[in-house]
Amino acid sequence: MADLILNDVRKSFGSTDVIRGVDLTIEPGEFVVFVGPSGCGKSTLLRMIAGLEEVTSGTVTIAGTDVTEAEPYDRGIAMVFQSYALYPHMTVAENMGFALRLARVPVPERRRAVEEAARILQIEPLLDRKPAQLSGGQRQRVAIGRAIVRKPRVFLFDEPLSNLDAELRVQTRIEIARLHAALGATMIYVTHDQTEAMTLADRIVVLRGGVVEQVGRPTDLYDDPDNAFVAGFIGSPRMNLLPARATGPQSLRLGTLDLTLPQLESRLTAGQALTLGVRPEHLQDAGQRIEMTVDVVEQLGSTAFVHGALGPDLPLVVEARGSRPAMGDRITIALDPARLYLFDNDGQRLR
Amino acid sequence: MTTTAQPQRRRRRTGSRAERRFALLFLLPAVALVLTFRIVPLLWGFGLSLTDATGLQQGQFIGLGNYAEMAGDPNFRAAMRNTVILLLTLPVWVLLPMILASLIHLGVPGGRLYRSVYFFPAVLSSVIVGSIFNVVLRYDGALNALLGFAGLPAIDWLGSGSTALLSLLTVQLWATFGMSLLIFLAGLSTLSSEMIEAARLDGARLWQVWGYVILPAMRPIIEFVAVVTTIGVLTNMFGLIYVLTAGGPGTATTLPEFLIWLEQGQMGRPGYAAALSMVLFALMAGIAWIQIRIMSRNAGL
Amino acid sequence: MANPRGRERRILRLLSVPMALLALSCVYPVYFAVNNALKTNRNYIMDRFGLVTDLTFDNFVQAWTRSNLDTYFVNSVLVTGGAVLLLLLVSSLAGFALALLRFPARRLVFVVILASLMIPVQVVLVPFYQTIIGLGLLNTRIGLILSYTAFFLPFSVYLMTAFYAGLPRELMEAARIDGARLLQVWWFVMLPMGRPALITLGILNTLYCWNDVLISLLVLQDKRTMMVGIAALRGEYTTNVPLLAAGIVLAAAPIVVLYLVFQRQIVAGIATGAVKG
Ligand SMILES: Nc1ncnc2c1ncn2[C@@H]1O[C@H](COP(=O)(O)OP(=O)(O)O)[C@@H](O)[C@H]1O
Ligand SMILES: [Mg+2]
Repeated sequence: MADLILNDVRKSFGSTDVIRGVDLTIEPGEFVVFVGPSGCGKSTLLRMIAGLEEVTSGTVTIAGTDVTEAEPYDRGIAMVFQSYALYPHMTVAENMGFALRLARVPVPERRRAVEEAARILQIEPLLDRKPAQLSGGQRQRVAIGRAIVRKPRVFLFDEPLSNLDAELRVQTRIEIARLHAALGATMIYVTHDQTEAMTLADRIVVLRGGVVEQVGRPTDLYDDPDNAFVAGFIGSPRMNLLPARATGPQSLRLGTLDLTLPQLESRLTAGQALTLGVRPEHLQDAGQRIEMTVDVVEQLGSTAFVHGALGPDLPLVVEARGSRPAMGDRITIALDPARLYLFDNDGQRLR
Repeated sequence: MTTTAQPQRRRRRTGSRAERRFALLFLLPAVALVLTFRIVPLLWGFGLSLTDATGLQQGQFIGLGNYAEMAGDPNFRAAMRNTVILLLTLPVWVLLPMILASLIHLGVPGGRLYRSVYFFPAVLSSVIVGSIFNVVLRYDGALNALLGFAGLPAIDWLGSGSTALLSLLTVQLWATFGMSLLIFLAGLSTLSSEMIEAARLDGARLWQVWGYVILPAMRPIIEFVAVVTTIGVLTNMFGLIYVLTAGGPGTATTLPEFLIWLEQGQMGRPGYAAALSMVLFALMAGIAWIQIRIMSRNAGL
Repeated sequence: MANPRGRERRILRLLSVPMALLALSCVYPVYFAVNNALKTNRNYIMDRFGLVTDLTFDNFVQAWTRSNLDTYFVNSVLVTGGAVLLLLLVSSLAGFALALLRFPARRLVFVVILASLMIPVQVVLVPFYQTIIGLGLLNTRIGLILSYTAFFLPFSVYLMTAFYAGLPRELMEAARIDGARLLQVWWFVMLPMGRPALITLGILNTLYCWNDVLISLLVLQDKRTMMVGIAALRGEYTTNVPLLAAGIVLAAAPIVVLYLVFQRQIVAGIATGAVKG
């Protein structure tokens, strides 16, 4: 049985529709990440699952029970907030044990649960401190600990790493992944950072403007995006998206370049406006060769990203592994028709 | 697509059921108290003001009779005249604490001490202040003794009609300027010190800094203090009048709030007292209207 | 602050003199009350302004027992204590609801409570008095407690609402996810979190309730609170200034203690009221 089912869930604030019909099924133990640009409704969707935001229409089902109208505490969920939302007047131990105290769990049992969670997160020495005496990373752990203690069916995370510095962010990300493996609980995780989504998720839900753009495993989204938005959002640096025009059923013109896509199943009509996508890392191997002048180089050591242009209004980023290009150099790039993505005028993928 | 989505919008209420229920529960005591003791009495008072009720007797409806009577009531006229005099002194009530606050802010020696001492009278009850000054301002009281020391003639501060109102107002001013001073200091402390330092670096004199930098930035606070003070002098002087002058001599220190009390209690004319109350309410509402205008303008609306 | 220099500093020093005199006048009541309360009546008549020469504590004893200030004092303590507790309870509940809960007509309720600031007791004197009688609350302490709560409530509600609105909403949400009903959210989270504001309000409302005379005069006509008692003392013994002074010392003592201990909170409370108002 699925852990969570969203059925045509919608949300409006006054007259603005923030979530415009989301259907989603999440299996037990899955790690699902909601990703999308800021303001697309990720937090709202998560808060509707938590019961912190009323659902305008549609239903939310958790573990087979319709909880659309249920209060947050009747949903078997725990949530980690972006700001951690630790109770400032309680010690770490009191913070973590608060839910059990409300549930009238006896003190010894409560202490045992708190200590176990503290051990998992390695925050045992902090148990008697107040949140104000903790660093950002430690507060983050306490917030996660507070969620663990409740043994919830579903964990909800709302951008839990965005208040940490870069190094701590990577470290905590790995720990959350480890935690997921250890607990085996269902986790729903919201982020605007596609790297977090790629590294953590079993499945990614890409949201834009309150609509699900695509759902799938990270590699599926990367290899086979359904539309130009997902193609551009997943992957770093982002996919090059260039305007092109069809010249025949399987051929098109990109700037001064004529390309043929023999594997294309859709048929183009000559003159049709298209968007051509190609990832920076797919521009070095086989395919149609063309020269480009290097404008800017982002040198990362192991690899380098070269910025240039194929023509006016055709900027291109190329990953140049193993070479050390310099500004003003001319480099040869290769456009492999098998690795080109084609999107129609509305951004829908043409396969 | 959008047309099929419309009928699905079933829940449009604000907040969850628990939130609505608890909000009602949590607000009930506050709302019930305010309604029972303030808002319903206000409406009821308006009704009463249209009757000739005396004592606890239900009165007859007499329309605007009470209001008409006011026009010819010498006590009411005196109270109004005193109110006008009081309002004319308003600039002093604002300027004195403002100047003192500015001096403290500019670093007058002993400023911190003055700040805490100045609001001491403000925490004392008007009954206590009134009782003390009732003794101090007697003909043989400490003030006249002090004046005599300086070779000045004694004055019957509370006993003569020409000085009683002045005495009352001065005592009230003395007793409350500390509050306004604190408000000004709170406002001054929010001014950016960089702004002041920049002006100082430009070579401005201390007084120029005050006039060109501090004063203009203080306008919202000056307005706020003016409004708060006006409301205060219209509604918070009962205790002082009660023990210091009892409205006298004659009607020299009778203000509307005291007259209302006299008419309701001593005179046993609740209908007429209610009508007086409505006049005071109109005054209050006028000031509140000004306050709302000021606040919304300052909020940039 | 702008560092005054040279001539400016001299002028400020000069201005400090009248300011010091004003400060002296502000502490004069203490001298007046304490000094005269310790004088015998004879001592007072012989030397009205000088320091006490004929020291006695008789005036306190007399004021306390024969002038009934003891019962008035107890009345004031009970009524002030009850009203302040009720004010804190009611305003923190209302502030929580107004700041953090979502329900219809939220703004309306807030505006109505604030607008009642425009209705001081003088404006509703007659109907208020009749309401008290009608509810059978005349000459009851509970009647005075409810009246104080009603008349001092709007500022408290305003301050608590502003305070709670400044707290992150997520605190309440975290508590609700942890399993707290809203009443528990209030008790376990909002009440402890609201402590600074509640302390400030507790002190300010203590001042207002203890110092009030008009509402008390109307509601507690035979029992009397301390301030009504002092006013009566002044009327009855116009010549016995030492007795009056002793009464003043007794009536003001709790407030002076508050002033000395909680000066910071009082200043902060007035400042918040002003800056937010
Ligand atoms: N309480 C609210 N009232 C009105 N609009 C809101 C409210 N909460 C969120 N929104 C709007 O809904 C949209 C989605 O917000 P959110 O879910 O927080 O986005 P994000 O994907 O960045 O988490 C935003 O445009 C935001 O302005
Ligand atoms: Mg968000």
